[in-house]
Amino acid sequence: MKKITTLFFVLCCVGMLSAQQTFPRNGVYDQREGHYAFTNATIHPQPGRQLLQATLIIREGRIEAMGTGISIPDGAVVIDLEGRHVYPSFIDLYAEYGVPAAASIKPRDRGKPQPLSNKRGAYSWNEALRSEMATQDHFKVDKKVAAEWRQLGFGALLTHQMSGISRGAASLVLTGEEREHESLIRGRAAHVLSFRKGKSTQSYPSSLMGCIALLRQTYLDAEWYRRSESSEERNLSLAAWNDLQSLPQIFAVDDKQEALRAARLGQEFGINYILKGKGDEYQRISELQATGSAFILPLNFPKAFEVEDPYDALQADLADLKHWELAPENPARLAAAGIDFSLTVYGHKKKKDFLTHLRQAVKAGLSADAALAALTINPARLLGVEEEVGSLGVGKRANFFVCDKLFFTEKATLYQHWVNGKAYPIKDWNDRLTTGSYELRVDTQSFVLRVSGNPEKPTVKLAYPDSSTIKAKVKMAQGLLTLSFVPKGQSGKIALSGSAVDGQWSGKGLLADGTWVSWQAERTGAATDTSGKKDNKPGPKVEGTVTYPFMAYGWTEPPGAEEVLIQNATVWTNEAGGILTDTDVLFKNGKVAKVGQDLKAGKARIVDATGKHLTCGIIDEHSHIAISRGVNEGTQASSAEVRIGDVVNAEDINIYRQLAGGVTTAQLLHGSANPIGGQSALIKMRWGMEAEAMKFEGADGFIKFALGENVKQTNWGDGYVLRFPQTRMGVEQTFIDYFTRAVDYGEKVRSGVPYRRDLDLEAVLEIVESRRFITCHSYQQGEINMLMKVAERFGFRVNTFTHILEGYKIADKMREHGAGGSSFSDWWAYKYEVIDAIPHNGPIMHDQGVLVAFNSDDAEMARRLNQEAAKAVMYADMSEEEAWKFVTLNPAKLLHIDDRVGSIKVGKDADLVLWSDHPLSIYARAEKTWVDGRLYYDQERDRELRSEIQSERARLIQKMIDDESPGGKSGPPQRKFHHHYHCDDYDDEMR
Amino acid sequence: MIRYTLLSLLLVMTSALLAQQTPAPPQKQAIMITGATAHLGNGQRSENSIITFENGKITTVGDSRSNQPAPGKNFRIIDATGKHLYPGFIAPSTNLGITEIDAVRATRDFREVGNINPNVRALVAYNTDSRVSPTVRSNGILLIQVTPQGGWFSGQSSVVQLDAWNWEDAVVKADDGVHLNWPRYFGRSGWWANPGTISKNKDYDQHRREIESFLLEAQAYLRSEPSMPNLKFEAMRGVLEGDRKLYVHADGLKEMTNVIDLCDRLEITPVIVGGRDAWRMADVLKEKSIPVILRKVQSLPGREDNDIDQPFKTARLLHEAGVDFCFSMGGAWEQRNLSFQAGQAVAYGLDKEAAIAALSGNTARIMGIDDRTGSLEVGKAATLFISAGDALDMRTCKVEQAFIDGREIDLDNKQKALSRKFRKKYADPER
Repeated sequence: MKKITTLFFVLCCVGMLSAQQTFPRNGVYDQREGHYAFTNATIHPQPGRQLLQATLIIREGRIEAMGTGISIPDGAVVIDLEGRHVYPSFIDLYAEYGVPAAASIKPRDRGKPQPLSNKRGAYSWNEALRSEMATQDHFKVDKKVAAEWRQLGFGALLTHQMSGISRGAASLVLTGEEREHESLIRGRAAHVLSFRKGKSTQSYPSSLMGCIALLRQTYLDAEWYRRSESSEERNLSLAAWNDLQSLPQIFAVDDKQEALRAARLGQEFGINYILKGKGDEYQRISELQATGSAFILPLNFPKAFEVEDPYDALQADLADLKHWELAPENPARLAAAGIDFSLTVYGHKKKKDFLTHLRQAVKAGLSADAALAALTINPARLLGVEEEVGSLGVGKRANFFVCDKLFFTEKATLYQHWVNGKAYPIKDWNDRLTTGSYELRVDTQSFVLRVSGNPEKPTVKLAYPDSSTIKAKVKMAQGLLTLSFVPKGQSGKIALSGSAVDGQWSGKGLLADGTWVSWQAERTGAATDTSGKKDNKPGPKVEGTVTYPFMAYGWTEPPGAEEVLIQNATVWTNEAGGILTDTDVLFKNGKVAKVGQDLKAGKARIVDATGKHLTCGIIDEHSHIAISRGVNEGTQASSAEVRIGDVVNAEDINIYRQLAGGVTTAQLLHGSANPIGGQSALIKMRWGMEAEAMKFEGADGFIKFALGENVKQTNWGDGYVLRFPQTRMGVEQTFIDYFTRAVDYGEKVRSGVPYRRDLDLEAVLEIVESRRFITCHSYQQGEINMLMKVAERFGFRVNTFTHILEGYKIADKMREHGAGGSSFSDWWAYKYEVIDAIPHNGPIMHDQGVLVAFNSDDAEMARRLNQEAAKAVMYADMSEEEAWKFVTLNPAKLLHIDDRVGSIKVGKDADLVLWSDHPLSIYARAEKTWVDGRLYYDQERDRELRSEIQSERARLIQKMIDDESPGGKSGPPQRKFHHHYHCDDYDDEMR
Repeated sequence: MIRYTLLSLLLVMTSALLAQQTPAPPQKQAIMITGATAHLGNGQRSENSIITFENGKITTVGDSRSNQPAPGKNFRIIDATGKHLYPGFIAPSTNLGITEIDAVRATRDFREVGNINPNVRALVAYNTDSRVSPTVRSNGILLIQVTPQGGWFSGQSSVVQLDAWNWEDAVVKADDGVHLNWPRYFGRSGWWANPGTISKNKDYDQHRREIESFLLEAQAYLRSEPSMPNLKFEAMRGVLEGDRKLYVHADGLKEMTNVIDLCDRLEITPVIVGGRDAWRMADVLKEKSIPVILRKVQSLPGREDNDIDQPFKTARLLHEAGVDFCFSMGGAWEQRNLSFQAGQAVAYGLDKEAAIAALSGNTARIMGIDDRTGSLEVGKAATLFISAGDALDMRTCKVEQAFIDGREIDLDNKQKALSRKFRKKYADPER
């Protein structure tokens, strides 16, 4: 036995098998076959299969035979794996190994815009599109890091440099220490993409929606490039992009909502991305399952916060507390939902924490087979390399590791990792002591030893007849035992050294007096062993549930479409009937069914509204809530290609808060950083639904325009004087230029000749053709007049001027043009262009026949737009009924949705608000808010939710305090910073 | 031609000047307001009231049925039956008058360089000719505490009235206190382009200690006889000797706890400004008689787990706990909406008269000017206004007349003038 081990280690140290064919040789050939037979092993060739007392034969880096009852061929070195397990090596699809760290091409100058890529050569205009990046050109074996991977069980990695939106071709490499020539399995194994521009210092894209638009345009450009056979330009990035399309496409996202966004983007182009997720997928499992995407899941479960201090504990968000408890269940929940996934080490600061978390995931319900599949056959299948790696079978690569226990359910120790048929020792199997009782004889003295615990780190004690014990120091290394102790009644130490094989120990030692002696020990009996039990200890009970959205005020059961009869309300119809007192409203199936007096309830639930007011829901024409990662793509004069609809954030608490302010519909607008902004999204406040389900069905498309100081970059800092336009003069020319080009583009489209699809111009063309409608940020009358004149020249109308604080100066012209105005009630004096803003603006425009709305542009104001409407009464004596329409019917008309919402009328959507008081009064509180007849906000339910939030927080904080996870705690609570966007937030959210 | 141009230029300038209101002359005639629902600003209300004032001071406050004015006096009588009478509302902690247009640097005078500027005085930068302040006072806000911002010790505020020829004229109380912005225990990490998380502020302890040592050194300095004055320490004299206020801007529990402990050591009572979490330690604030200038009511909860109406109900919680508090409103032009902060609190359970007191009487007491103004009480300044309806509700608020020290002020403003100008244009088809 000992001989074989020695031989085995010698073999490891010399070059082996298939030496590189093309390389010159120095010295005498020493080519070996690497022919081994592993016997008596428990082999786990693939999930669901297990071979007991089996033999594995490998030769020249491949598996030659595997099974039971196989005869050992001559020439094979036999390695007895009695009591040990053999698993196929793991594969990680999301690794950055053997490639240099990404770096910016030039340092970023934060004070200045960078309109184009700094990269030299005929590459993409955008620095974040790095499809030409070939990992294989840069790959270099890194022995130190490779060893770390092998110790975790990984034999193959899909590696790439993690920077950019397109990151080029990733390579599948082995974690052995052979040359690159042997380690590279597939040089071009997958295309990796992301929603982060990484080390690119270029301004565009500065928002998530800009990133999505860039990807969309790139797919179109690449197709155009392919068809035009690069006759118009050479573009090495696009050429590389096209070459990448036949590979598996991996998309790295930062959370579950981004996963859905990436999946939807892929569907537009017939691509089913493999999604590298965040670990929060369980929070939107059914929608993610419906995408049919495969996932790469990280296991970097969050650590507990330090929440012993109750002041600090206040700082933690319920969403984070809940995620801390439920994150380990993510893989199990995805497995139960039938989602195909692989696992990645990515996200761990210390790689070895991966194994702790892996076993935690198994403890949380992931089966060992599913875990094994997620680390072997699933990733191999996704890359199409299942004939090479990912399982053990004849003809496949000899990539496997040897461990002492079941890998996923017990704390197994790895002894060897074989990569490409080459052995990499991790631990010596012989560096362990068999537990039990021993009789030790040192020279003339005799002792009883008890060896217990982990065989690799055993506890050794001298046992005496009086049951007293003395602990001995013990160490096993390099196949040698070192043992020392001070026997009872003696003052000097006995120090022993020697070998210890299978319960037979012997060697030489030194007594306290310097005498050199021989010693032997023999195992006399089994141990009363208590080790291994700890592994089976169940973890703390998980009581948390998934709520929608996954945060405070989320629901577990979505509100259903109710049938309700509201009785005896003062009903603000916004119709010819006006304000009706003592009136009943019946709604069912999401629509208003009847309005009248003494209506019959039938099956309907009755709500007594005596003394209360019922209105339709408030419509916020100008909102920036519920938007992920950036409200402005203001880096270019036009960003018509970007779409807020791509980045609706269904998890913004402001949706719920605004429901409590009676808001049921909101137009989410791009900011005002550039003359032609992005496309708007119209949502209903369907709290808890996924982003797509919140969108107002069938609504017309709108787009944000802007004028004045923001688009001139007046307040951006001294470095921002490069982008055209910088004056109101230039703003006009920007519009004329874009509309002229859009008309020309339209002719090209209609002509039937091939053309490059340009999503920017396509959106502008829709405007010119009155298929998309403008909401234009505007302040001063001159520029307002200008845009109307430009529009008239191109034969269309500006639908809405928003802010429009000088609309009162030009209301007659607006009426003639047909533009509406969506304004603030009383904002002014915050910048130079609003020095003439007045609170009478809305009422004056209204009196001149302009369709007028009041909007929020602000997450806080949006929850009291009823009060803003009342300011039209306060400052300008408007009728209350007409003022109320400023926040309901008029914005509905401006948004072309007044056939569905904006008044209480039979057949219209049951988007209704029950107020405690006159709805224009500051004392009015929304008691119930229905959207589509579903009760999304209810004051009573809100009270229950508050106490549920309190008790759930308290439970989780207790649990965190008690947490004794090996990794420790992460420190005082942190929470995500949630941006409350306004028009002029230009933050670069993409880095 | 040139003459004509000059003339029209002159005309333009004159009409622009007209948009500015002329300060009213001192009160000459005694005034009697009858029949109004008088909200006294001290928590009391008088229905069908009678209020008289002369030489700028209130002389009678009572019920019109039981109080008859002294015979023989030549009163100007204002019948306010069915209307509401309020003490002039006071806006604490605002930069109104030291900024005109925030985005235009030339008009910004509220932030000095450096962290320790207790010696800078807002009063000298206060612009009585602001076009913004007339839009604020026409909503019943007649006094403001003009306050510097930024750094740790941002400087000294002063209380001024909004109808004056110059800053000396405007003074109600000069240099009423020093403002200290306490560092945040939890702060946002990262920078604007790469926002991080809201996490523990690593610099908190160091900054706290620097502030603490400044105050302790100032205290020691003031006990000594220095050969050469230190302006910054001198500026703390009033605060540390107890006749000026220390306004400490702090919102969180840990911050407020540190502030209170430090002030105990200095043997002074601070005024907390902000006080987002003050309701959680209301008992402590009450016990130590620490007043709170509460941050804007109409704001978003600080955390997504909070009760969605937490900022709306904080005032009620402080009132119920017996904490002395008043309302404030961030910003400059926004002060016109100060009274609605009180209205919002009333909607969430605060007693209406208590809310009005927190716009007037409480504010005056907290700033140490309640001996002369802030409530409708005999002997106090006749600084008050009449609204056709409830001034806390925008649905009914209509400020019709206002008086500062008995002087009836012009309620016109630039915005009303612009409104008239364009209404006139549309009314006249010739234009």
